[in-house]
Amino acid sequence: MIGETAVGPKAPAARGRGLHPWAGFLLRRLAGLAVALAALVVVTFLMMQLIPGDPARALAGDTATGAQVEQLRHELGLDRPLTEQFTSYATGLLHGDLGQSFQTREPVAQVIGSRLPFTAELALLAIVLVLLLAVPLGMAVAIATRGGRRGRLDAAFTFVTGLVGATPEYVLGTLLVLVFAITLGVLPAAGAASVTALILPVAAIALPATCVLARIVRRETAGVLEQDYMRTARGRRLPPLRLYARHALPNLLTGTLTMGGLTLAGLLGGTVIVESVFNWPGLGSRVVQAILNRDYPVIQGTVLVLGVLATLLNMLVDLLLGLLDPRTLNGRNAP
Amino acid sequence: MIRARTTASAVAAVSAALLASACTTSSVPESASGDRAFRVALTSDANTFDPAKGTAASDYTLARLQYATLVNRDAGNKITPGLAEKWESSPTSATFTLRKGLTCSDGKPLSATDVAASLRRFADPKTAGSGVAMAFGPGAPATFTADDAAGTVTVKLGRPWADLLTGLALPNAGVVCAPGLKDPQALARGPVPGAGSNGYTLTTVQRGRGYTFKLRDGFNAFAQYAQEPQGERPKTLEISLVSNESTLANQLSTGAVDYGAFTGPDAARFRSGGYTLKAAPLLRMFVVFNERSGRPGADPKIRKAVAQALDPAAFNKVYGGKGEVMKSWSDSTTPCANTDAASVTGPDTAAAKKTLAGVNLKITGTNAIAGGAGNAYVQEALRAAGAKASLRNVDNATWATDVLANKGDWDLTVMAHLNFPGTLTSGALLLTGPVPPEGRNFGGIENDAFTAGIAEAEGTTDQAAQCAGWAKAQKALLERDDVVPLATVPVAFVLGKGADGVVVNGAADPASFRIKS
Repeated sequence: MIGETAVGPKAPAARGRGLHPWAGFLLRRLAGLAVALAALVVVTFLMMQLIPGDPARALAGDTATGAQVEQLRHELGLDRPLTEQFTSYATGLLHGDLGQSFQTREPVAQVIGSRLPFTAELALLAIVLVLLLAVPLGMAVAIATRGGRRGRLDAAFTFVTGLVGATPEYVLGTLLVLVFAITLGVLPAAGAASVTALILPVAAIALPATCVLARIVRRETAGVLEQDYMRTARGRRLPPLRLYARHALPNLLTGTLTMGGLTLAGLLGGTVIVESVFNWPGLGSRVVQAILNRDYPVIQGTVLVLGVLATLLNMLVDLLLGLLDPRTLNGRNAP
Repeated sequence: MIRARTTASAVAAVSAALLASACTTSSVPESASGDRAFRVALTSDANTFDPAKGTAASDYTLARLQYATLVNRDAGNKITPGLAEKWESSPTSATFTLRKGLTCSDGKPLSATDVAASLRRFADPKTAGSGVAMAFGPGAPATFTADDAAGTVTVKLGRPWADLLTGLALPNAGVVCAPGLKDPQALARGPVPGAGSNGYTLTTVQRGRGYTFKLRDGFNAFAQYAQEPQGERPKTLEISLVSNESTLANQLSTGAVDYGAFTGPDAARFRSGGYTLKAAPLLRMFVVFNERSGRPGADPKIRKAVAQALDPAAFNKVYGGKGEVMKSWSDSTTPCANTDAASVTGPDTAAAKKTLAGVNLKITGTNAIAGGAGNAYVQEALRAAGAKASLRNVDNATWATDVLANKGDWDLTVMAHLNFPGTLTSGALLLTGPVPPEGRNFGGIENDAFTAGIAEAEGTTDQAAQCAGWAKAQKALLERDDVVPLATVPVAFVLGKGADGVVVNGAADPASFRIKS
């Protein structure tokens, strides 16, 4: 029976053995978060030790004597045993201290605090744009081409989204700069001094992701449109907006949100090249600089914070999916 | 309801991010009202604001703005007045007479005692400053005395060192006023009120993003040049960090930046169209051998054969062909540098094959310059001459550890020498004296005639006699093939339309920048 609530292949949430599904879900996620954090702390610390090259030597310059390098190594605490360095690092973390940059001697928390908002700004605006464009576009094309209609539109959609989706962000970014900054002169080529400076980097990030997600939404929508409950809904001659918004869209959200969450998590740590092309003062460009300078504390702190954010984002997506489809609380989709 | 809450959360998250970044964005340095700021782009951030400890181009640029030196250098390494209006020098001492009315950035008088204290701290081994050996000679103690009544500062050296004036003109020797000396850690981090002695004061620090400098009212001890730039000295200098040269080129071409330096092909975009492009050698590339016992480089025949296997002209083409094929460890713009091709072992692959066939050679090179393309050329040339050449093309930090600190397994390297002072001494300090960790002689070169030539050159202030000493030193090094000169990699300094500035001895003076009307 079709009423005012959304219809679809949903079923009541499966309950765990004596434990409320939400309690079990949160316990599993929190335990996973704790394990991920511990692993991140250990792995990032050990990773730094495996990188060849001496940070003190890199900082001291080509003409420094061995004594000067040794003095710098002592100042940076690199002459201490590995276990002592790790204990100091881990103890600092427990007190909320991510350490101090080898290069600039700034607190790492301050480095991340000043950079993360810029990366988050890019990533969040990009993901909002992606969701706002990709979902309606994918749905509209799926609806318009349902049952093999409008073959040319289907081909054009496939071609354009395939082309833009496969274009690397830095190529797209460079093209956007060439057209809108250098040729037309209507937008800044780089920097973060004005709100308009956001337009090109956000577009460079969002357009390929929009195309990829739109293709997924289109395919998902095409599948949903063939379901029996959609045929029934169409048979009741519901208004198109209500038909697609209330009965098709909720059943697309699982895949869309999952993809959106993964994309956002990827954007937070993966905007390095776009930040470089647009000289955007985000975390990605700072990490590259830190890697080149063997600035261990900044690398460790950034990887840790990005790892925590990615884990929390995944948890948030799981939470949303749980709200939308309680079956996922037990870690499976089937009832 | 769920969707409403989700939407609200997303909006809140985006708003928070926008708000957070807007707060940060709002603190972007703004120019003084009514005066256009001069906008400088640096390709990397500074390691330190402490002039004594600077090691990179960005360190020097920022130090030059805040901390004046006793003397300056004009084209051709000519020493010109700085904080000192005149001086008398010998190979073992120099007395500088300060200008009248010098002040620090807080307006307090800058005395001879203050200058001597700053130089004493620079020379102190505990400071671990860079460029100390370049200024006062390696391992030689220097003493500094001041006479406030006469306004003089006297430097006495433990052994002759003719490069004293050149060394004191380097940014590392910039004079730090008392407040900076009292708090070296703050000095390294950024602005210390009253620490500056030059015409610009650091007012805003945004690490990793940019810096703002303001012109001091009434300051009159700026470096003077034979060819002064045109226009007004800007009251505000805004320095941004742009690591990607293509991005920097975009900003220059759209007028968002007034000055930038390029090592890559983007400089070609500014050869016309009203820009000022001044090219200079940046890196001096030459082969250095590991000459320690048991290494192939210990054998003069192997070194000669390697020199015969390499074609410096072909090496130059690897980096675009815009550099100069060198005949010494520095280029022809360096005073006293050898330019005679007859002094250098020339390419002769046939001769090289006779010695190098089957010889194992481990090359370690830095990939910091064009991905290490020059290292790959050297490997292929040695292979073509029959050697079993292996290459470790590593990042700069690894290369410095393996080669400069001699902690790696290497037989030869392509040295990419920055030579900021633009002298033969700068490179020579890496080729003589104690080996690491005590010294800088990373190749373990033992060449007495070379060392004697340096001592002769540094023992006199007479230019001709210096060059005679350097000629002997270069001949001694080149005839033993201790180094194989290759080519320079140039840097292009580009000033935008309406901007001017001085580029001398391979460096731009940021305190000389002007805005043309």
